Amino acid sequence: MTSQPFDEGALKVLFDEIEAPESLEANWRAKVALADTLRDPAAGEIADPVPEVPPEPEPGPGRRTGRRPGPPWLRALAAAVAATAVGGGIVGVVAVSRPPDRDPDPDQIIETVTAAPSPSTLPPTSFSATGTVPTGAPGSAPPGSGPGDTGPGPGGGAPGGAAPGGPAAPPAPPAPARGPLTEWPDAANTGLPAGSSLRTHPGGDLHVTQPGQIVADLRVNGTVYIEAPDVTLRRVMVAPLGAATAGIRQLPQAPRLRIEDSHVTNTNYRLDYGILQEAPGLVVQRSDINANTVAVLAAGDTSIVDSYLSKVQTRGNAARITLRHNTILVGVALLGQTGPVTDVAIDNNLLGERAAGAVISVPSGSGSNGIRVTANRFHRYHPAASPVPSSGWNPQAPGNIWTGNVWSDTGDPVNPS
Amino acid sequence: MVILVAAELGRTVPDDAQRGDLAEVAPPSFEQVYRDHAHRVYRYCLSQVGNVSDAEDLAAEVFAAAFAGYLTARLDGGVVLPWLLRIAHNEVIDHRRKRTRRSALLTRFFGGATDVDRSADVEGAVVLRDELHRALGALQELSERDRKLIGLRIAADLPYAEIGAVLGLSEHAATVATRRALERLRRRLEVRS
Repeated sequence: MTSQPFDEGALKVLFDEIEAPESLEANWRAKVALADTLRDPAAGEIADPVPEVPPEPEPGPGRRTGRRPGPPWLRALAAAVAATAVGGGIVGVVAVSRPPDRDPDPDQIIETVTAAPSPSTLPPTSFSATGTVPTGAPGSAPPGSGPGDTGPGPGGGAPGGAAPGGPAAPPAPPAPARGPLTEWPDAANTGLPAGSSLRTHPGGDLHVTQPGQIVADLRVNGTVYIEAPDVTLRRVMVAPLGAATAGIRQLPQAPRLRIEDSHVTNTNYRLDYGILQEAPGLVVQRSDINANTVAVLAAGDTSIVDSYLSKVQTRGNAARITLRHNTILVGVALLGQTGPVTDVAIDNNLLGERAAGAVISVPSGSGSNGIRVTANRFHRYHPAASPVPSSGWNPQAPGNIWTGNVWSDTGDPVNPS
Repeated sequence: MVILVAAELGRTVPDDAQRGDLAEVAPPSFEQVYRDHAHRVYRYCLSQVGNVSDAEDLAAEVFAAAFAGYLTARLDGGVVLPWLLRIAHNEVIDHRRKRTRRSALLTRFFGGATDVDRSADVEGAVVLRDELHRALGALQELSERDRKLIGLRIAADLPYAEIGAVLGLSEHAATVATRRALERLRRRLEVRS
């Protein structure tokens, strides 16, 4: 090279010929596994005061058998070994470390009415949830107007819908008081309140099957499937250990879900949706929801307040969505691929700190209207990205309003692009 | 609901006619990030340390740190590479600090040559093409700033705007600085020839 004229392009070509060695993947995975061994393998992101969960009882009818073998560091080490074994093939690693997802299997639902664990098989310290059946008819109370959670009432039991009169779950500790946020939501003031005391659900996924169930002060190392109406999750940590479609999945038969002071964490960055709403009626308050693809996939009659989120999205055919006083790092994508999106209020949020595209995407097709983007603060964008405030904005659509939106650093108006 | 297995990503997505939607908005899984950027991160590390074994170790540190940080970084696809390279930059600084400290100890107790001998570093890269070998040697003789600029431009193949983003410079400043660094590299290569 040095005998020829200096050529930046030729130098690039020389580097382009270099490939990362195959052993690199096993190398970094081994470092991850080693780091995991140096921290409390059971604690995860939040110190869990409960001792290591004893081995799950032998699976029987109605009990889920999906408990993953060993603590996270052991699984990570196994993944590193697997990575070495396949010679750095990433597909091979995925293949050995990722069980196939599937819909809830009725034969594997835990804690069903007929299969609630007896105190002799499941120590009461291994999980905690209060279950309070509403005094009204199941399904009649909207989220937020249901029963309190001051302790197990009639029908109190284990998470997942233990039968009334079944084994009583231990009472939940008093809820740390926390009102509406006055500061912008962030990782510190949303999610689990300081001083929360969680117990750990002993299985992987949790199936909540009893109408009106309140699940509180619980850590779930899997997906929470909501399968009944009027369920409330309060101070719940959802941390799927492997790849998962959703942290909390509100199934079509489960309208009016309420989530308060809870945290869905994107462990291993392999969670597609934080909350996957498939039934009308969802309230999220003071929660920290993070996921690979979308924090909340909203389906309608959705209210998200005082929460810290990566991204909110719709697929279409959605109406009556309110996003108020949230920090939404990436943005809001109101996609209308399955139908129009109507009656949406995006009000007083901090938006776009991590945006790389349009911060607010609005369906441009006919039928979408009543979208009100008001009094939001747009974060100044990352210099390496080239986002825009909006895409698809149609000022002519009936009820579409864009007003009072400003840049967070200067206070200058932000106009739709 | 039927689940579509997106095998190439190692993830699953609901199969309800939203595939285009997801393809448009889904940020990459970490496996995908690794697959997309491993080569460029490794090349950058190689440009900074000049030998393949240290480069691999550094790149492994980068991806291990990124794996942990990715849980909370909430990055969107477009900013991942600059983010990885910022981690790499910090790892390079750490790497040099450790080596300097170790070489000072070796010098103090044993005298003579130390393990930060640059020619020795480059001699380790026996599997590299001779031209690249010489370029790496010349790079190690430049200032840390020049080496970083050239590493980002040439090895990581970043546009000037992203170089600026990594180093906290404007695009114009990054352009000017990189070109000057490349000129100094050219002179150094001429001297070595």
